[in-house]
Amino acid sequence: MSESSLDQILSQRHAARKEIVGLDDPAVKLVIFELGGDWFAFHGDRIREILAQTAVYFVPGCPPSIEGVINVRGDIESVLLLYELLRLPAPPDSCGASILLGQGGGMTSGIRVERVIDVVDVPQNSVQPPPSTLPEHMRPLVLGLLLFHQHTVTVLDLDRIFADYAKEAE
Amino acid sequence: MSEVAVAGATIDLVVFRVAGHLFGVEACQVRGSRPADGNVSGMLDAECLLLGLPPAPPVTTRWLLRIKGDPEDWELCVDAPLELCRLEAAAVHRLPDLVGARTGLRQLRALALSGKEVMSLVDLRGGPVMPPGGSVTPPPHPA
Repeated sequence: MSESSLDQILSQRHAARKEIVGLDDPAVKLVIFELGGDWFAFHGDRIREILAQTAVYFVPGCPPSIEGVINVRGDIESVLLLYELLRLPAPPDSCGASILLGQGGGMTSGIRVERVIDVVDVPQNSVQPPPSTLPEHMRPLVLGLLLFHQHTVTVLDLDRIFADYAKEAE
Repeated sequence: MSEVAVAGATIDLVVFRVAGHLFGVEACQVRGSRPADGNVSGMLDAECLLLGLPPAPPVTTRWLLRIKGDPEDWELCVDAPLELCRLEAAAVHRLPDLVGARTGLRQLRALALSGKEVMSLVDLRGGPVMPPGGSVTPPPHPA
């Protein structure tokens, strides 16, 4: 066995070891999704449901960041677009495939996402605190950062997003 | 269903369309209606009041709704068909939290499920108050 192969094996073992979740480590469920080319996540306990192919109805008088409303088994919920809030480039038309039905800060709303990547349990300590280099507008909205499949995932605070969004009108 | 509705309660609505979108107003707020026989100058166009759009040439038959006012009644020009309908209270929903917080249309009070559509229920008792310009999303062309 060549040295380089051994190095590879040891490297793989080392990586695999890092992925083993200790039973005593508290885990957190995350719903990871893509928006504007970046990966984000909400805590799983804030997402009631993931809806696909749901008809969105226009409601007059809403700002562009509210796509409309959806009928969720007889209940009417709003659909929020996060592009403006997160200052992400919005696609030319609303092409997101899924809607996350979120609950936070005493409010419920759908959130349009381009793609749901995964729903995972990760060790709580793998979510790092937000760095000081985070843009000013993101600081209040971010709970932490996580490395997942070689992507940086920004964990967002849904309570704060809903509360700030509702407050903006005041 | 998470909202509690009074069993058996109903609401009478005058239902109309504006640029293809479905609206309803409580029948008790409407004194009457008449066809808008071509000349609607001086009448308030619902596209301006409820959608924040400039008036457009009509594509359907138009009606004038006479809205009870204090002190004076006023007329609102809407698209046909104009219908009187009775809706069960269970079909009426309060505005979703974020819509209620951010709507620029002060007349918007509730939403209702009507077939495969969502009807915007408006309260016109406050008179013809226009939405602030430029703050609302232009409506999509209805399917």
